[in-house]
Amino acid sequence: MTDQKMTDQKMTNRTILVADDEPFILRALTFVLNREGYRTVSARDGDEAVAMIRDSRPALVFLDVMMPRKNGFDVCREIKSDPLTSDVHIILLTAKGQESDRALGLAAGADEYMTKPFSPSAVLARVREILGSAQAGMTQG
Amino acid sequence: MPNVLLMLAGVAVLGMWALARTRARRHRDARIDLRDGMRALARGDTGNRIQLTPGRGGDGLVDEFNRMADCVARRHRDLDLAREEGALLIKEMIRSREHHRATLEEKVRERTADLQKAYEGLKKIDELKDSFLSSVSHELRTPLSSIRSFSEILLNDDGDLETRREFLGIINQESERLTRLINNVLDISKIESGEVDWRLVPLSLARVCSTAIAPLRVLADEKKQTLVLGIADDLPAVMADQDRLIQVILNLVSNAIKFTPEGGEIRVIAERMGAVESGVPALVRVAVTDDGIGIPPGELDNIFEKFKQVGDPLTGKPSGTGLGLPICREIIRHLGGTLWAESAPGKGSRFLFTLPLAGDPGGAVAHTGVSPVDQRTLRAGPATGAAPAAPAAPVNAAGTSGALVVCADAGRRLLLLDELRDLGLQARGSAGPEEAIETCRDAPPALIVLDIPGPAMRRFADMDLLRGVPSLSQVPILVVSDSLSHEESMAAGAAGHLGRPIVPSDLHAKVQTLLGTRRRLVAVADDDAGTVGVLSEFLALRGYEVLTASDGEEALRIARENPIELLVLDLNMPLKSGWKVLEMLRSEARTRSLPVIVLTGMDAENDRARALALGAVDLLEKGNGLGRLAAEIDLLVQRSV
Repeated sequence: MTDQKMTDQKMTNRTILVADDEPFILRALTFVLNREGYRTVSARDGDEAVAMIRDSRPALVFLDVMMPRKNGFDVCREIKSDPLTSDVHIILLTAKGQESDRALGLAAGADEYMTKPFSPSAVLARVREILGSAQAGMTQG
Repeated sequence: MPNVLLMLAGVAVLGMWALARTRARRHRDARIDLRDGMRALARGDTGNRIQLTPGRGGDGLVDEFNRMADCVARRHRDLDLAREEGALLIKEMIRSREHHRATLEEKVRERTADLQKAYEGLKKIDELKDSFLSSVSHELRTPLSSIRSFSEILLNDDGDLETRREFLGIINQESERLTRLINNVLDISKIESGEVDWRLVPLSLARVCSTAIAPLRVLADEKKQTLVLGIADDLPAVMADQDRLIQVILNLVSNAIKFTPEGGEIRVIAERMGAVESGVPALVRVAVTDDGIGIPPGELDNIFEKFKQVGDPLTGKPSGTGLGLPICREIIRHLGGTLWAESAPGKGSRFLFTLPLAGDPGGAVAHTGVSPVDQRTLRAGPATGAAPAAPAAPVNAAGTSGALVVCADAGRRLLLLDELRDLGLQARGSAGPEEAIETCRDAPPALIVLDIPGPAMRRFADMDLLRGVPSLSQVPILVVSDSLSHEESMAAGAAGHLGRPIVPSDLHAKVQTLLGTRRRLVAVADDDAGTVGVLSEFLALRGYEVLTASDGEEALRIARENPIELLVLDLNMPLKSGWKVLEMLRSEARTRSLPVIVLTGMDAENDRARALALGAVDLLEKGNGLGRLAAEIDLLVQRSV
């Protein structure tokens, strides 16, 4: 476990929000995450993402940038500036691949920045690093 | 004496002295004059001259002085003049230098501003290019993400068959999206950089629209939508690039189908706008109208921007490439027209574009009044030289003539009229039975085409009304409807029934059958039974009676013994080759001008020249698939028969 900020509460919270307006991306991510035993919720636009984060309190969020209603950068800022939600680990997962976009994303408070196309196994490896394996979590919880 | 002498001498001396004194005084006077003159001269007063006073002496000197003074005065004047000139020159030089400097500064300022503007333009282009590139990159990465993710999942997973099938379907779908996107990006880059070769020719919109819409009918049928093409028969030809125009119409109509719910209606109407007398340049306006979900006002400005597509209404997912409409707008702009959209959310959208006429720019086109059939004949060129003239409007036994279209919808009515006129019929239109009865009071038609729209509220009320008029009671009625079955129409007394959407060839066949017009005789000769089967079926559907031959001898016999209007001739046949048949037909008076379309399986280019030299209308390749072959024959048949 590299992430020292990780709390016990976070260790037991295995809900992951996937926010993307591309249904196939949602399908791919939720499929691999579910298969590994993680609980997923999904959002199709920025407003929905904010609402879901407040309602479901996920431990981790995969956030697309170019979404309708509210873009990922704005969602990120909103979540990170609210003390109630600022501890949520946010990974921007976007097709915006330029260096300036990455800087913008990190400036908006994202914990990480991953670009599309992504490899599901690389995504899973990262999730395991952050949350621990789902099986381990279940035995603990 | 000496005194006298002395006195004399004294007088003389005195006299001489006096004389000398006088002379001396005179000289002195002259000297004073000269001195004054010189002083005046020295002062620059060149106007002074010394008066020659008799007795004042110094004549010669004074003359010399005066001449000198003249000379000096002249020089003085010259000098003054030169000085003035010089001064003027210098002044001029100074002025011109100042002017020059001012203009130079002005020019430098202008050039700087120009450069600044150019730089800003370039910067903007650069920014646009950057944003285009980043959008393209974004759009490429998105489907690539699905492809990569699902292929990796499939590689590592042996899940159930249904899931695997679903994922493969997604991969396939997203690959197609990627391909479309790449094609569109290349396309719009090519158009914008001016690399496209525009082939501007006069085009009949009726034909271009039918070609563009044909492949979309299946999609519209799947959603039970009505697809109507309404193009007035006196619409002049437009000047455009055929392939590009088809691309635009295809795009607009497929968008309309996509954004219109089941059972909706999509109309493609072309009209002539502007008039000579109004001073507005004449052009043609094409409108693609749907009664679908419409476009929200905020989005209406965006839809022509690259990658600003409106999502699919059902999934919310952008389903296009975001480049279709921008490409369309670029194309229409290049063709000299404008493309825009109007919409009311919930009521539907209308995409409109204009195109310049093919005639002179003033709009005084002499095409008005020429029906598409005539235009086609005019344009067909040498091929029609040998073809028989278009048949006269059929006249039935009762002395009635022409067809009457009764249809409340103007667009559908236009479409029907267009199709009927394509058959060489005189066709009139009316919006309802009352108007129809009025129209036919003096000259009843030979056929009534009655549109019964769905859902058929009044069903056969219109037909009963028409039937009730004595002069119309015997006129056959062809019902066109998508809500009634063939049986229902026939049971209600119709002479024929056609479903929607209307297939032109079906309409033609029905109308010809009902009118009892002589079916045109054509022949197909090929030793391949499959080809003969497809082509004869196709031609029969178009309303032709087809004779078939499976070898060269039989082809020759059919051509000699029957009044056929067209022969489709395979080159490679037993007993006699197509070449031989063609040669013999050309040598006989009766068949010399029979239009022949030659079919070949190989080496088309070599055969073409030879076939055309032997008087064939055209040569078609069999390798391209029979559907395409049939379509090409269709065009040639329309042209040559």
